[in-house]
Amino acid sequence: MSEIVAAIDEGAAQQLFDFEVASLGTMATSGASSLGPFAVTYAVTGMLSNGTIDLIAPGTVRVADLRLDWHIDLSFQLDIGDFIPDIHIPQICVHIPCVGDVCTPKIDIVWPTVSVPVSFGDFVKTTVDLGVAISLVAAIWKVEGVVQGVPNLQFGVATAALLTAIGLAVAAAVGWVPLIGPFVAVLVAAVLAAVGIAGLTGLLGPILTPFISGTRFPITEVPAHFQVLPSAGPFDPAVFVTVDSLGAEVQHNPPEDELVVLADISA
Amino acid sequence: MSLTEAREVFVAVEETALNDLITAVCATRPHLLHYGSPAFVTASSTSATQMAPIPFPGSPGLQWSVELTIPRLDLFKEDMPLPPELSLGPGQFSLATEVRLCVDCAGGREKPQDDPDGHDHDPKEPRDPRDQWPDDRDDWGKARHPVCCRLGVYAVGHLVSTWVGGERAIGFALDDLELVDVEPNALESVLECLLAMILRSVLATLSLPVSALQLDAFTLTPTEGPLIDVNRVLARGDF
Repeated sequence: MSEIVAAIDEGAAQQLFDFEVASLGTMATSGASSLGPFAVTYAVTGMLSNGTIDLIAPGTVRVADLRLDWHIDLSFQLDIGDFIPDIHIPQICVHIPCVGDVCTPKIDIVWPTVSVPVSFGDFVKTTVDLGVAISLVAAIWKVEGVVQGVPNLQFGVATAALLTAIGLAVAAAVGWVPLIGPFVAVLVAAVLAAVGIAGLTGLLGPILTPFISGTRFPITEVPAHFQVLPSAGPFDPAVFVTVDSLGAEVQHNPPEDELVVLADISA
Repeated sequence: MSLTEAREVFVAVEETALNDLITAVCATRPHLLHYGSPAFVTASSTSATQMAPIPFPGSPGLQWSVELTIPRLDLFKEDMPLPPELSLGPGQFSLATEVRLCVDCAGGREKPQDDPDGHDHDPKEPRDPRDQWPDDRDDWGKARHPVCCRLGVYAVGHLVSTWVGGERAIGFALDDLELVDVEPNALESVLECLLAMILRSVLATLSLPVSALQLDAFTLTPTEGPLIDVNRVLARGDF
């Protein structure tokens, strides 16, 4: 039997995780990936906000409706010629008596490649199961919730609006291209069709998932050299005990489920 | 039955851990258990607390010291045998320690010594009164004729709520004390009264913050306890 037992109920666990998740702050990453047929570079920020805590014995902390608010700045190169054929109108000459040859100009339109920047933000929700992990690192006992498995992200309805944002960004990016005017609508439609919802989730899923699956949710920390009393003068040095072992588990103690920390100490 | 019951946070400290905490405090700050006048304690330090000699007419003061071993606590229910005069009730702890009482027996230092000149002392010559009660302030820390005894002390008490460093803490209050194997009974009563006063004062300086009881694992604002349950101290409260 452990010498010290500290326990919190689900209500306190909810408060604890609300605080700890908020303390995680903004996470960020950047890199390169693909958006449908396009190679993209991106920079993403994400911030978690807590869901509903459910303690499940013997060792699971379920967080339902964990929410990740994210924002992405991405950029991709759009070769317009991949979607609209280049235009080549040869020169045509007509011989007119007394006038001579009259020729139309030769027209060659080779569509350029343009850079398309897109900025967009939304949120995803997921339910994750956290296992309780204990570690002793740099003389600190750490109790953390570690995500089990890979969460299934449920993108919000508004995420589909990212397609609209991409369409607007494409239209804006090609606006300077001569003679593109009549073809913009076709181009936008072709790009969006090429990307599709699958392209969006294929991009966002792998980028955003690590924000959740890679996160360790702090539950508590206890120094292995634990200070019982602070120094209180020249004859009263600080008092410490050694925390020899620390454990944590979820216990079902009817009618409640409780998160329990167990410790043994020595003088 | 849940641990937290109607509260959000629960903490329980077994008596072994409580003794570890008390041992840590007493071992780091041994002056909490060791007091003495200058002949025994040169100066206050981490090891000992210097106090004044006991004033007495015709003397510069009686030199003394009191030293206790680190007390061992037994929380209700009783695991550590107690003298029959004591009983451990619900909510109480018992305590066992050993006290070492010393006095510097100034009268006993006048052992006959050979005169260095080979002359006997003339009994007609008046004695210098300082020879009987020498002012030995130059010899602090040098009890010349310490006479000591060790007594086994058993006591029972209860927890009290207190504060240390602005933090909620538990303290220890004495209810009853018993010495063993001291006779005659009147002497035993005097010594018990003396040691009860000493132990009560010592315990008043000994307190443990509630945060230490649960290693600061969770925030705890106690609304129930800390109190002595069966062989443990427990508290419940809000997060």
